[in-house]
Parts: sequence; C-alpha cells; structure tokens
Amino acid sequence: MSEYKNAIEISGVTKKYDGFTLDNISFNVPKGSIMGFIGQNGAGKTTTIKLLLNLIRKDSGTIKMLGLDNSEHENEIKAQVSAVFDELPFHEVLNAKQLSIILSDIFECWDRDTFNSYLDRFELPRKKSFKDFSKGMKMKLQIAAALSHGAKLLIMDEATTGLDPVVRNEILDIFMEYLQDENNSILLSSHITTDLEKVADMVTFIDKGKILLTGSKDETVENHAVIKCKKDDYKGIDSEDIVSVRLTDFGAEVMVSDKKKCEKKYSGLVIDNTTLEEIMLFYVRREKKEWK
Amino acid sequence: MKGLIYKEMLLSRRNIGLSLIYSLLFSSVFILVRLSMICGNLAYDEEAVLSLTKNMYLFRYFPCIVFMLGFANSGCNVYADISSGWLRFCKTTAIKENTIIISKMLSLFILSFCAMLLSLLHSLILSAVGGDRISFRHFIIILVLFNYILGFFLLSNTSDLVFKKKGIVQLVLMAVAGAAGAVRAMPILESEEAVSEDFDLFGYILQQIESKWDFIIIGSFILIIMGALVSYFVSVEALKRREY
Repeated sequence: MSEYKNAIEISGVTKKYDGFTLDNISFNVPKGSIMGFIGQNGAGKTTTIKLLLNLIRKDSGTIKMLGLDNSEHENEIKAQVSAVFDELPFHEVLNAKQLSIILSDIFECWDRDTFNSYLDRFELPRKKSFKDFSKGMKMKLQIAAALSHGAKLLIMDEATTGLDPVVRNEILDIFMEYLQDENNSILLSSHITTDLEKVADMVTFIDKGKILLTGSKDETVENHAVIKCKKDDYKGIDSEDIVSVRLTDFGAEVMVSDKKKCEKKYSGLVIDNTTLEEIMLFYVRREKKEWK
Repeated sequence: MKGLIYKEMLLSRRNIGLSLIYSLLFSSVFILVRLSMICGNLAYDEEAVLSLTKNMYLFRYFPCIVFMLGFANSGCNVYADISSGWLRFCKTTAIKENTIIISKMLSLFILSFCAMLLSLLHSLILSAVGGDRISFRHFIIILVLFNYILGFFLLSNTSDLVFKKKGIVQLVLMAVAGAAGAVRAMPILESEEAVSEDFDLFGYILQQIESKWDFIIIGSFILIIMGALVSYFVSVEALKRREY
C-alpha cells in the first residue's frame, strides 16, 4: 500500500438515477481522522458509500482510497477496508463462533483473539443465533467483525441510527480507540449530528446529491452563527451573508456562514454560536430562504 | 474457500434434518406395510399384496428424492444470500466472485453426493427389510435422479442470481413440461386404447421412459456438465455486474 495523505479522495463523481443525481461531488477524508458525512435521508450518503465500495458504478469522476484508484485496485483496497451498514449482513441462523470461522477464511488478516475480545467487551454471546440478537447487539457484532481484520479504513453507513444513547456512546468510544492508530480513518455517515459533534474531526454536508460544505468540524461550527433579531431587522442583513432564515413567533433566526465578518458588520445584533444540527437544518432549507 | 463451504453446510442443517425425518417416517410406514403383507392383515388380501408388490420398488425412490431435494435446497441457495445481505457484504471484501461461486457449487456437489450415498444406503436397508433384491439398475436410476436434481439446482441458483427473483427456472420447467406433456399425452389419452377400462397410464409412462432410457441417462450427464459450466460462467459474470 503506497503512502497517502487522504484515506479517501473523491473528485468530481457523478451518478445518475431516475429522479436522483449525485452531482459532481468532491471531498477528502484525511488519514487519521473521522469524517462525519451528514445529510438528511435521501441526500445521497448511501449512494456515495456504495460508490466508494464499488457496489454501484459511477458515471464519471475519480475515487481514491488509501492512495489507490478504487476501480483498478479494488481487491487490494477492500482487504484494508471495513464497511458497516445499518442492517446485519450475516445469515440469522449463524452465531458469533461460526461467523469467526467463516470470516477467517474471507479476511487474510482475521484475528480471532481480537474478535473474541470485542465479543467479551460488548457482552455478545458466542453461541446464540443472530436472530435472537437485539438491534444494538447486531450493530456491535458488525463493528466487532469490522475491527478484527486490521482494516485501515472504516466506512459506516448510518451505523448508530436507531440505537439507544448508551450503545451509541459505547460505539463512539470504540471509534476513538480505533483512531489511536494514526494510520486508521473513519467515514461515518449519519443524520444524528450529536454523535458527529462528539467524535468527528471533519464534516461533509450533502443535500440532494450535492456537497454543500466540507472541512474541519470545529472550523465549520465556529464559522457559522445564528443572528437572532426581529422579523423586520433581518431585512437589513445582506442576502449574500445569509444561508437561510427561520421565522418564529418571536422574530427571526438568521444562519450566517461567516461569523467573524458578521460580528463586525452587524454589531448591534445578537449573534449566537450554532451546532451541526442547526447548520444542517438551515442549509437543507437554503432554497426557500425563509422558513418556519 | 473452506469457510464459505462451512457456511453453506451450516445453512443446510435444517433442511438436512427435515429430510432425514421425512425419510425416517416414510421408511417406518414402508416397513409396517411390508410386515403387514407378510404376517398382518394384508397377508390375507391377495389382490392388495399383488398390487403392492408390483409397485413396491417405486416407493424406494421417494426417500431418494426427498434426500436430494432436502440436502441441495437451502444451504446453497443464492436467493438467501441476496436477501440476507451476505452477497453485498462479500462485495465489500476482497473475496473474488469466482471463489464465491466455486464454493457454492462445491457445496452443492458435496451435499448432493451425500444425499445420493444416503439414498443408496436407504435403499439397501429397505430391500433388506422387505426381502427383495436390488438390481444394479436401481443404482443407475438413483444416479440419474441425482444428476437431474443437481442440474436443476445449478440452473435454479444461477437464475435466482441473474433475475433477482426466486423460482424462474421452476416456472419455465413446469411450463415446458406441461406443454410437452400436453402435446404428447393428448393423442394418447384420446386414443381408443386409453379409453378402455384396463388402460394402465402409469405403466404406459414407465414404458415410455424405458424406451428412451439411454437418452435419459446420457441427457442427465450432459445436463450436469453443461449446467455446471453455464452456472459457473453466468453466475460469476452476474456477480461482477451486480449492483447493490
């Protein structure tokens, strides 16, 4: 595996479906980081992940993973990548012990001891059929399997969706441990922004098949702000500064994308910090400009 | 490869168990009838004994078919791999498409071969209990059955993968068999001989099979060889092209 700076490099990728287009998307996931891939349902997160894994074919653009082209070096890449989906991809009549034997044949670097240690840590039974597992247990099992063959890149598609906060936190802790090795990276797709707020180094917003924002999570949150003002006052804010405006019974909340500039420009107005969730909400409604 | 074959075997356990139970039940009934013919109520009914003795050997094929269907059916079923998400998972790993298909085909061969051996063993036990001898021809018939059932499953799995729907091959086969049967059977059923009371339709079918026996044996081997080749190349290509 060659030396690389970005674990994932997507450049100008397009995929057309009837009724949906992933439109010329580009973003990078730096090596050693967690990239939060944020967007509402149907925004194009899963399509992007499928393209990364070659589960579907792109119409145009280039994708590099671990420094290699994902079409030309598919098997070389996939030996170093783990994907976790929201549904368990294993037959439900199997149990963890049997799965370990099967996966040891599929992954060259399968580590049975690591897998067993994750089973113990997650308190997953070895001889119980997966059909008797809860959703949380199934997700933990997938993560245990994903982390037991020395993968350098973990791709998670809505992996924490539908799990209770305790399990979600447990899983996020595991991710942080995984990233102790600076060669490891994670792409974590989710619409639960609070999870990403906790662990992500980078964020990419996608909506209707287009990338809206990509960059450092801290910078993204710091650069954005919400100006709270009366409905009439927001008319005085330049439209080029505004992402969109939420009208409430008490006034208007205006999302701006350059906090420092706006602090100087609109010093008389209240400018509050914002969150990833708010940024997502305001960006998703950017075409309406005003919404309630 | 070993792990994938192991997976297929694990998934086949339920069907193997069920086919063993069915065969055991059937054999019990067979043995009871045989005992009754020797020293029970049926021993006093000469007509029934004559009729049963005449057709007894046919019943020995029923467990063979149950074994083969049961062993080969579920474990190597591509459709189950699609619906469980297993094939999608495999596509996210470095495992090659031909490894997946070869492991499936090998598992199918192993399971079908086990079913054939069990069928033979079963026939030997029943003949020992029934007191009638088994001819070499009986083994050939089991081998031919094995070939046709295996060929059917090879093509059925391939069609599941290509068309993403279960049962296309079954429907096509039923339609072809129905059409061919109707074309061949209607003139016979309408003939004067068929209308007569003592016309033995089953005997007539056996006679027809008998007259084309060589063709049926050769056809079964051609089906296996062609089925395996077609299944391998088409399935590997379908897996490579498949989007998830």
